[in-house]
Amino acid sequence: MNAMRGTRLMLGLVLRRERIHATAWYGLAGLVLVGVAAGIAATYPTEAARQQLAASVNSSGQELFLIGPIFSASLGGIGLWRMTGVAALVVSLASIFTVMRNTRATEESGTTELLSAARIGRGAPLAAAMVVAAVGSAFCGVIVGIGFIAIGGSPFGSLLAGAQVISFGLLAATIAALTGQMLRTARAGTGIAVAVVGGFYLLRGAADAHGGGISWVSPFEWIAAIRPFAEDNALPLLPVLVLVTALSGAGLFIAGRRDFGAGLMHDRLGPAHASNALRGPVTLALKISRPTIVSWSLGALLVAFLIGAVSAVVDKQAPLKLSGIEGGQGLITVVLYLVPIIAAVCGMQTTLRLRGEVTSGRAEAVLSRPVDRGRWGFAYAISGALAGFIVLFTFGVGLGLARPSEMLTLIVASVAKAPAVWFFVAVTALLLCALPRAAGGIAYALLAAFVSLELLVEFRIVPPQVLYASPFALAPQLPDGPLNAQWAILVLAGIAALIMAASRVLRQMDIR
Amino acid sequence: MKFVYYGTMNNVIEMRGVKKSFGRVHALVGLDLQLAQGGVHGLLGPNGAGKSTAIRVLLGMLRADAGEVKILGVDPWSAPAQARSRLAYVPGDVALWPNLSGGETLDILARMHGGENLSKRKSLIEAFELDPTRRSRTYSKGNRQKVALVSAFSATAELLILDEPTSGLDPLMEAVFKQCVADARRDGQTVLLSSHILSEVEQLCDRVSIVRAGQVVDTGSLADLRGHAATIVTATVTHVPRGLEDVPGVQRVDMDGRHLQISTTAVDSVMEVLVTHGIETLAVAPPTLEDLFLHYYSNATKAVSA
Repeated sequence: MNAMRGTRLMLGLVLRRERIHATAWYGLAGLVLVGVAAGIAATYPTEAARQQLAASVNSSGQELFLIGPIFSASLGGIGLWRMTGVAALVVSLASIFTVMRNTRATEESGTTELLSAARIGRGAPLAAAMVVAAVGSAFCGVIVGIGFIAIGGSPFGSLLAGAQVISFGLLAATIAALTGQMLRTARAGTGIAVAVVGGFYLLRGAADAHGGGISWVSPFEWIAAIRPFAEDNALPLLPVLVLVTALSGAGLFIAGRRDFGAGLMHDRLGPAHASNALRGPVTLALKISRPTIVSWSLGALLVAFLIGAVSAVVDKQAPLKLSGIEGGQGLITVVLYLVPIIAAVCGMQTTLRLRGEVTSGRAEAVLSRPVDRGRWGFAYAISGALAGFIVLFTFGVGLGLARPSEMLTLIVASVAKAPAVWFFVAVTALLLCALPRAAGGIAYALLAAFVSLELLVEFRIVPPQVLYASPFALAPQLPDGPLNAQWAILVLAGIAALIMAASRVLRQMDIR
Repeated sequence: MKFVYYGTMNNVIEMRGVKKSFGRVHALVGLDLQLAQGGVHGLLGPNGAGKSTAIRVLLGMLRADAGEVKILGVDPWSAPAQARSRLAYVPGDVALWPNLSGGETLDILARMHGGENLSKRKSLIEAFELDPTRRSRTYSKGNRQKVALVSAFSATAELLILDEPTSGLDPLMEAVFKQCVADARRDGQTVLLSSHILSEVEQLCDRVSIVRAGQVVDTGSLADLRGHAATIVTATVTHVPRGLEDVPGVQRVDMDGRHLQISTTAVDSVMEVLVTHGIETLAVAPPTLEDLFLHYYSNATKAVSA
């Protein structure tokens, strides 16, 4: 096939580029998953304790929605249960990023064009990227498989647990393969791919929460149907493989036929003049971030509505309580605790666009004009703070649409989490000034560290008081928990201090 | 308020002993650059000589490690942003916001600048044949360059800083660009044109500064600079002269029988000798800018990155 010519050459190049990046993503994902599984296995060492956990989880709608049921109370079984949600998320992200970084992103940056003159077929970059994602997924799956044997799971069950992880990775890689071919920008392709994976996850959650067997709507249900350590049924791997093959075939089909740089839609012409609202760096940043804010908000609205709708059923069942957090009970409370993390990612992503302004050279166009450095430097942080706030607000609205009688309460409860989101936006803004090159990595690592505090508390590795260091725990835990007004004010004061530090550094830094 | 300078110095650009290092890379090592008001000043040097770094220091994006920097009478690093409303800049590698149209980009840039000649912008868009309704994502390199040029030439500014502005332009558009620079000079604007395209500098610039490895190694009018590089005198004489090498200014003498080729900075003294030896044929070739360039760079020290 002509489009595939040079795949082996491309593979060498992609492997070279991904030597550290992909290895770190998939390898660390595998280690984290094994760590999570080992953590819970150590927390429930006796059969009796595990049986009790399984009984409480399987009767809790919230747990069923967020993670799924426990099928086996063996060491491997509860480890698998605790790991599944994280696995679906982390391995999927690893694959989506890996595929996008080596397909649409290189096409946008122009490096693919450099190669198109060589004897490289149109489908070769995609094929190579998918091979690398598949190898990475397999690497992660092998780590998980070996890890489960070490924890004490049965060998065949451990093998199937590894196969589940590989399935998540392959599925996400092929979804990204398709969206990367259909959309013009890597940003949009990544966004849609993440949304599809999120949709699969939520549909699986809704089906599990409603109980009553497998609905087969979401491919994540197929993967779950393998049930390692319980039924050890490898058959559902078949439909997963069929879907993966079909999606990658579709991706390669489009790749072989479309124009270079094109998506499914052509670019429309734009206006010859800017609207009067577009006046300076802040309004410009808001305009640039608008598509991101709109799509995140729509996603939040949909997800919240779905969760709200499920919660009516779920809350009739046994309650779920977050360990260490005084936040009342019920699925709504749990998701209200999780939503600022998502909103923080949206806010941080928007804030980090400032770095792209500098590296692309667009900063020069602005800073050579009589524009105050502070306004330029904080334009994307302001957009990020607003983006996070809007995501919280629309999430509250989504919950409220499903439970109209509590609309106002739910919106207030969601929006009240804003200080936690703004804290991470402010941290990102400071990092962009102090350590611009490493800002993205450090910012997300910090977020991950605060989120994993929860896990450490859950596994009783650290005392619950440690959560007082986390802005997520210090935010108001409405509607049922404490208002934490004094803590929220403390967080806001911290944000002010971060911003002041950032603006000091901003005035002293070289823009490069 | 036009052409009123703060401070006492009348130079539009004043850089003295400017140093700038990035880690172990020394981009500027004591750069001196003075631009008087009016005219077109070329900043000539190969890739990585430090031209763009010097310009970014002038724009206040980078802080000089040492030395004195004044632009339009103020220190670009500590001056308020307002000081930049009197200059316009075209970067060497123009990057635009992909989902904004060319027209939107021109509008926002003009609003940030704070002063624009709208009729001039309209005529420039026509002259450069730019379609302002297309999204920047779909622009070629040359089209992005045009957006930056239209924005800079239509802005009300006393000083234009152009960093390799013709990269990506086709010859027709290059002609339009040259006309724009000529108009700017006529209107009393001062132009700093950084370039490594010798013909462009030769055509447009009144004065040239040659940058090498983070320093200005020579500056002056093109005529001045030519005086520093050797003129090639080719002659056939009836008697072969002796001791030509010792004539002041002579750099090199090649002899092939009665045919001579002499590189010299002092044509007069060479002529005095040749006249007494019977000139049969004679050709005098003044140094081109290229010769000049090679003169400064043939024994160049290792270049530093910009």
